[in-house]
Amino acid sequence: MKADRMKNLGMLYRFELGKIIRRKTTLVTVGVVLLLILLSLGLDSVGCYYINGVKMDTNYHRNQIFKADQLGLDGRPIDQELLEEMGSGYDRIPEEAIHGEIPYVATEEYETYARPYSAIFNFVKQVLRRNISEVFTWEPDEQDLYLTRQQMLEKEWEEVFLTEKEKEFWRQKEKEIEMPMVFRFKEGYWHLHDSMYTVGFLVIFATAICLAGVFADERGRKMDQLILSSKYGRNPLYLAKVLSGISFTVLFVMLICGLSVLETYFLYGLEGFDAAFQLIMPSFSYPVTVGESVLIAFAMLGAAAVITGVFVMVLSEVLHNSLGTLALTAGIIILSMVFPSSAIPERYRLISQLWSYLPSNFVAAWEIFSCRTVPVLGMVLVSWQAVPILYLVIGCGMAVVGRWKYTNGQVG
Amino acid sequence: MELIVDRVSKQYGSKIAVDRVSLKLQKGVYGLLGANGAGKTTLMRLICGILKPTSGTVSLWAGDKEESSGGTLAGGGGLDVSTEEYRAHLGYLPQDFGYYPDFSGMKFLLYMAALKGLDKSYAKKRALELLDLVGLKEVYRKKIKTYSGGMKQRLGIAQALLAEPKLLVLDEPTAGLDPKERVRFRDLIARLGQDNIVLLSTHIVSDIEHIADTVLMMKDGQLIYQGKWDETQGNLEAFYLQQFGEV
Repeated sequence: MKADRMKNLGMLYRFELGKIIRRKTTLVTVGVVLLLILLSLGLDSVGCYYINGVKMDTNYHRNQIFKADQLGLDGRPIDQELLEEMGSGYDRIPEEAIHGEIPYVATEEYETYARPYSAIFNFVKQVLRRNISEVFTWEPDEQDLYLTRQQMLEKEWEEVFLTEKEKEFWRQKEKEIEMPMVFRFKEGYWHLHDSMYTVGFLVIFATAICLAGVFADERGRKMDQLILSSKYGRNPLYLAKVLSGISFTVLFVMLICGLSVLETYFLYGLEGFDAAFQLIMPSFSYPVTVGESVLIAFAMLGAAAVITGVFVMVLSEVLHNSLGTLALTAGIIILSMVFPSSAIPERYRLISQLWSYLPSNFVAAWEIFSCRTVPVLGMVLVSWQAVPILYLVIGCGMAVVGRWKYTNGQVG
Repeated sequence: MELIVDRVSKQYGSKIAVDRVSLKLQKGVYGLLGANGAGKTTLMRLICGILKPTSGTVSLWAGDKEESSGGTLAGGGGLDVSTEEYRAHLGYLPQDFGYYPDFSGMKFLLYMAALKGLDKSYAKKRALELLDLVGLKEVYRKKIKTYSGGMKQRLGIAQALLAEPKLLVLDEPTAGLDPKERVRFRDLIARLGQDNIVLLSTHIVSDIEHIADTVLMMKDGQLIYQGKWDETQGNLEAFYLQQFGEV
């Protein structure tokens, strides 16, 4: 009896998954999203590079030059020696070019002496949080660079109201980061992180579009009478519908992530998987590599999309209307864009932190790799450890509410 | 097998759609007559468990309820309308229902068979049998959106028969069928009524006259007539119109 039920659940699951995938709305949405994501990732590699309206090179070729420069520095520690090399390269740029009308990047001195160190220059600029002219006047000093970074971290921890326990947690993590940092070519991973917010927004929005009709459309089509009066039309079908919605979301995220990685590989390269994540985000203290950080971001994208999918499916059962479901979900997504967690004063930490865990916010790298932690049973969990647990609990809660609503459903 | 509808009511705000209806249906064909808004569809939905009654119960019993003294189809108490076991014995053709336009006739029946808990290989065999029975075998691979209204109605009848139901509830089953098809289905329904409980509603009094063993009439949510009808009692249509004060 139980085996028969499982067999039928399997059959219903395949039917329901097919219904989602073969819908015209799904095919169009997935197609458009794929196109937009491929365009957004490849934007830096298409077109030409201009200075003052004069075409200098193609962006693709320019990227290849920068890649060669960076590969030339690959594996070198960002220490006093490398910083001085960078400094002497940038010192060759004429003073008037730094403040003048012609950008310094258009000078021959930049091309010959400074450009090979531009990645180090940008890293220093990012760590010191200074503008370009200030970095030009900065005297290369390894100790100052890392000390400034440390001070920045402590200042930020203070500003976001971290507890002493959290600060101590990050100090311990900081000790695990190799110092001086080792420079690695990691452009592909940088591009993947850079596009993550756009990708995440599109995936979440597309998930809402594709799943808004899972329950509501049955009523719209007047199929609910046949379904609800069938033996397995209530409990097993609810499970089959929810599982197929989740499966679709996971497959969709895998497709998006897979194609993003493939495009990145061809346009920028995927060398540097084990480079320190701090080369991309110096203000984060967890010892992860850039490759691991991208995998974490993909996993969080999957979790955010799945919880959105469950929310949308349950909402479509509650409202019995796919358009209403979509409008409400879109409203929440747009609200999170217009009013991000950073708009909430840091002193309201709990609200700000919870708002940052909203799926449409949590796809951004700055939210995934935030220093705000979550205390659980005496442990300190970072965002990417705590949020999936939170999503699981909320998702199960929503699924139970949806099940109750569905199994007690009436027609008319 | 006995369907017991015990003082079932359905109220929407101040409007009573079904008012304390009690029925005991055993195998045979029951024709439900009534004007629009009399409560026929609501009563059928209550019997199919897709509407919850405001009060009263609907249950299915093995043989005669009193005789079997609590015996069920499986050997326990009566099967309540809200249970999976009850729905396993039910075949339902709603009056107005939808399809998946991009499904073929065959795929639609296989989907419905999965919903009804049928084994995959049996479902295929049964679906082909029924497609043949309702005259859709030639077009079973075609998408439902290419079907005419009558073909869709026949597909609806086929899905209702998939699980060989003991209780068949048909809301306007002959709507949209041409006269030849109507005659065919009247015969089919009469055959099904020999071993099962068949409850059908229709506006077409002659359909009831030809196939129903028992006539049920509803007015303003109440059952106003329940009994056998034969030619010696006169013209059913005239009786029907008389009940509704239309002559």
